[in-house]
Amino acid sequence: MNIPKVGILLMEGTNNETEVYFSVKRSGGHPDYLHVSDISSGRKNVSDYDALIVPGGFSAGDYIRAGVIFAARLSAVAGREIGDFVDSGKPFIGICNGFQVIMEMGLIWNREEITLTNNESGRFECRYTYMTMTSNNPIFRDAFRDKGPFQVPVAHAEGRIAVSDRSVLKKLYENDQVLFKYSDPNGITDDYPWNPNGSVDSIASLTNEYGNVIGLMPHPERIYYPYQAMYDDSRKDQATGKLFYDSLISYLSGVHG
Amino acid sequence: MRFRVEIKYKDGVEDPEAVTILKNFGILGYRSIKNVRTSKVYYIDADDEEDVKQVTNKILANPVIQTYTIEKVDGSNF
Repeated sequence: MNIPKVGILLMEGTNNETEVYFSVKRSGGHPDYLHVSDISSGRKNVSDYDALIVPGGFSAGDYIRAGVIFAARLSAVAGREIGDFVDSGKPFIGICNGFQVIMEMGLIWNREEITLTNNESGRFECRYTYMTMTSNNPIFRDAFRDKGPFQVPVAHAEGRIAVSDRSVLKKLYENDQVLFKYSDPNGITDDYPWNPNGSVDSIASLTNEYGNVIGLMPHPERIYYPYQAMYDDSRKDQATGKLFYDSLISYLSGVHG
Repeated sequence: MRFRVEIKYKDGVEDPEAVTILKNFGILGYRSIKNVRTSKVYYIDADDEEDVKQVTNKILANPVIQTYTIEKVDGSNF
């Protein structure tokens, strides 16, 4: 069986690429870094990969708005290729700052109607919380669906999902685009502090209508081993991050989905 | 009274935010843009202009690297 090739997109200021690289590798994938300048120079092509991940960080210093410069740079060098990549059904995942990037690119929804904005607390929230799967997404359903809450670290200042109108939220649910919600340790969707940013309906993760463009604020790659977890989760056999990346690689390998 | 306090870097002090933004505008092909500078504006409602001067000088601005202007503005202009 071919080992799935996962491209990790970079620009100045991304800083979570190493954790993503080793998570992909330890789950059996073949990770590769892909700087925007590698794409613009023609050294690397997005179409050569089975999945793409935009990791967390502070791309271009997060000046203006988080992710907006990275989104403009990616659109400029590979807008059409990324469009084709997404249309082909391959997974395109944005984590934290990467989620902000794919939202700015409008790959999940029209950016006039959904945004990621400043945390309600007015603070950079850097700690753990829990997330519970709420969709039927084929990549993650075997590992997460109906399995309760999963501990995850968060670290962001602009992670609050806001919608222009409640009708947008209704459509997200109708299309099964709400992948994970924040919850308390008992799996009950709850307010702050479990919902760390004040996201509407405690939403932690969204997908596009087809389920292959995925954005999430929590960092699964920072909790790959149980010893990286807190409290009861540190005694689990498998930590959230391993389940997340194992699911992705297993899906890409055709084992499930 | 409403005051408009604008704080910016002194000439010759690097403005890292502006440098990053300008560099990326260039990469994106906006070649006619030659310079970017940032400044921060506060609107403060106060009865005593002296208080505004003091907080600006002591707290809002870093006098080593920044300069500021304070002006009285129309209260509706927010």
